[in-house]
Amino acid sequence: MGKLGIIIWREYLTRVKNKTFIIMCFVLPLLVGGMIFVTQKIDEQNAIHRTIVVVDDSGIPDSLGYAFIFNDTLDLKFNFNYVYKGLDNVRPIFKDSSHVSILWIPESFQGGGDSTAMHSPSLVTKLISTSAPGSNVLNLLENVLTNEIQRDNMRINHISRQAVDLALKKVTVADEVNGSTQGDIKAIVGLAFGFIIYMYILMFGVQIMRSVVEEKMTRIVEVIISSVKPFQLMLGKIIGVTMVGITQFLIWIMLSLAIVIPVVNSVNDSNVDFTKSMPHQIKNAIPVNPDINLLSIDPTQQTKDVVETIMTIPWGNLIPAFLFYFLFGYFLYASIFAAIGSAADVDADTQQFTFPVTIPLIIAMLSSVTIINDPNGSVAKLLSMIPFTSPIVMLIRIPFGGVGIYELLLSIGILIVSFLIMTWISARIYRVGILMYGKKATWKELGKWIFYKV
Amino acid sequence: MPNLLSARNIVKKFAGHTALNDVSFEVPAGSIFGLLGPNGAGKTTIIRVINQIIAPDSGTILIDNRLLNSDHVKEIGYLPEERGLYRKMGVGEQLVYLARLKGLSKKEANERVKEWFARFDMDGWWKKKVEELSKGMQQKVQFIVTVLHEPRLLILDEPFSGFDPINAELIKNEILRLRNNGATVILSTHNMGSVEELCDNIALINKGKKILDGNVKEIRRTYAAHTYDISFKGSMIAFSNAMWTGAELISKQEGEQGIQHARVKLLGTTSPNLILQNVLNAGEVVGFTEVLPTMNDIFINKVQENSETVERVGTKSNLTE
Repeated sequence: MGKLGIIIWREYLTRVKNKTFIIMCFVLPLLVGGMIFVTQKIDEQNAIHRTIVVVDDSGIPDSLGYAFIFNDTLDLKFNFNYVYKGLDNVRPIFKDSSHVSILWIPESFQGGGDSTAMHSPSLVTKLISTSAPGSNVLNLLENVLTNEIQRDNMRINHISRQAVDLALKKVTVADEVNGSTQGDIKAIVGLAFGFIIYMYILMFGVQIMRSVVEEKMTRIVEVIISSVKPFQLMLGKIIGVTMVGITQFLIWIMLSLAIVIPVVNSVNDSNVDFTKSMPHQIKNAIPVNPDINLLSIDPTQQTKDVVETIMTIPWGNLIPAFLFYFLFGYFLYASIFAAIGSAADVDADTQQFTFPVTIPLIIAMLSSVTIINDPNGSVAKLLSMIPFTSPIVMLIRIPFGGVGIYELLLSIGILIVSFLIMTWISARIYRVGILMYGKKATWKELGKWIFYKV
Repeated sequence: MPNLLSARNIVKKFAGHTALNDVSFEVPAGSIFGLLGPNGAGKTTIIRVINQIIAPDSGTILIDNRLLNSDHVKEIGYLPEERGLYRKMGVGEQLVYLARLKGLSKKEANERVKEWFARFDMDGWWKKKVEELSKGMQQKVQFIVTVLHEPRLLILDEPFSGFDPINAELIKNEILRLRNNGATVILSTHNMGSVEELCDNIALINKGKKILDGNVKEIRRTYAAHTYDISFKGSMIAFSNAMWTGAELISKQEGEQGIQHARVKLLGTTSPNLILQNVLNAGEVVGFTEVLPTMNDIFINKVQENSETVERVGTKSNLTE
């Protein structure tokens, strides 16, 4: 093993054997597992077997009312046994049932009506529950009612059913690049990759900085650089810490899967339906279209859409791009953190330098909303060229497609060149900094060190 | 004795000041060489140049008449003034790591660390973390780091600082043992007692310039100030009169059993023989020895003299401007 290898191995081993590392490896997956377990449980409570008892005080028995327009869904059951019993009679029956809501259509409710009437008809209904239903339940009821009333109104105003259906033709804007309309999942995938890079740079960049400060503080650095070149030490440290980070992430992923899969299974043990294991939030995130009868949506269709969207993400580009931007983006920052560490005598000295360095990272994360809204807009294009933001921004963009090959190559080229320049500059600051004591360095001072002859 | 190391016309400037100004010296193989000078004189800079931590602006370092290069790393052992070890790392593991950076194989490093543990009574230290050790114990570990790879050249910057007298003696004996086994030692220290005791040769550096170098005994003889200690039985007044104008009495002291001790400085061209003849008549002489200046005196005198010269030159140039 060469000297560089010996340094890398020490940096790696001492950290991996550290108690904090081992604890961190277990804590995060347990937290994730626990959180999924809890949200699943809450979800289960919310979603399962809510019964809606429909009470219609507006209609006459056996006439056309709005009571019978509802159909059962996966989560909701409609009970039509009390439709004409009157709210006052029905209410006491269910006052202690937690998963039951009463949908009350009051007497004053006038859905269809004369368009020439002086006053707008009252369109207020009430949902009475002992435990609050989710907003998705309310949305669904509103949509179904609205849909029906709109049709009725048109019919009353002598617009034929066929004409209504013809008039209400739905337009689909098919995204030609993606072949799909579901951008949410792409945004989640892109953001997840971008966020991993962001976290990694901050967590392990700071570790490198600390480690440099420690070597300088204990003065062991002088012993080491009488054996190896400062650059070897810096590089060994960066690579060693990178490997620690990769190890930690791999352990996290594996342990998370090991914990999450049983948790998900235990919650849905009797259910093989895919949509069940999908967090409820994602289901809710799927836009509600008022013009189609939601109740007729086939849940397996949703799953199919999600799977289709995931399939349209250019994984062939995304995975290599992630690996590349992850490594080079990290190395770019790591060398800067090493240089900052070398300029400090104690940990506290580093603060004045770390904040400005992390600003580009924060900008990249903050602008992710803009980028998701317009993945190929000018802000996105600009930020994916700047090497300090491109590792995050490019990964948010790639899942949406539309990043040209030349654009990608240019961004990669800029990052590689910047990485080389930055490492060179950092190495020059580093080799001066580690031998400097007692001087509180300023940015100007660091600039001078680049040109020092050592 | 051939030279192990030659420093030739080393110049090193830092922003704003010259740390080393044309410094040259020779370190004979198998000797202990003292690198002396007040704080900020440039000693650490020289040491860093020899360790290839920094490069000189001009001048050359030769080891065995070959230009200093990266192969020499494994032949040099360096004990920096500011000691440093990884605080959270085990002692054994740390020693093996540092030895491997010097080019030892893992196996060799392991064996040698065990040897040194036995030599320094450090059984059971292998797994201890450095931060659990006392300062003196840490110094021992640091010393082992320096010598573990059996370097031919040891550079020790203030090796005795921080040691209690027992451990200082242990380290001193180790240095002598290593020298006797063929190692060459460069010792940078303020402790002039240890210089007289250990060093064969020295170089004295002040403000980046070498102001004195050579063999310790020769230097002391050169700076001998014609001073003698005379012990005798008899009257101090008669003794003073007997010296006449040839010598000056610097100090006197009455010892046991009526023996008087006097320190005299010979004046002009007076020879020791003449004074001895004169005082023989004044009493019974029981001792006559030449007093050599201590390295401490020489150090202080030379540094002060050098500073005054620098100041005088400085004043003169101010006047001419």
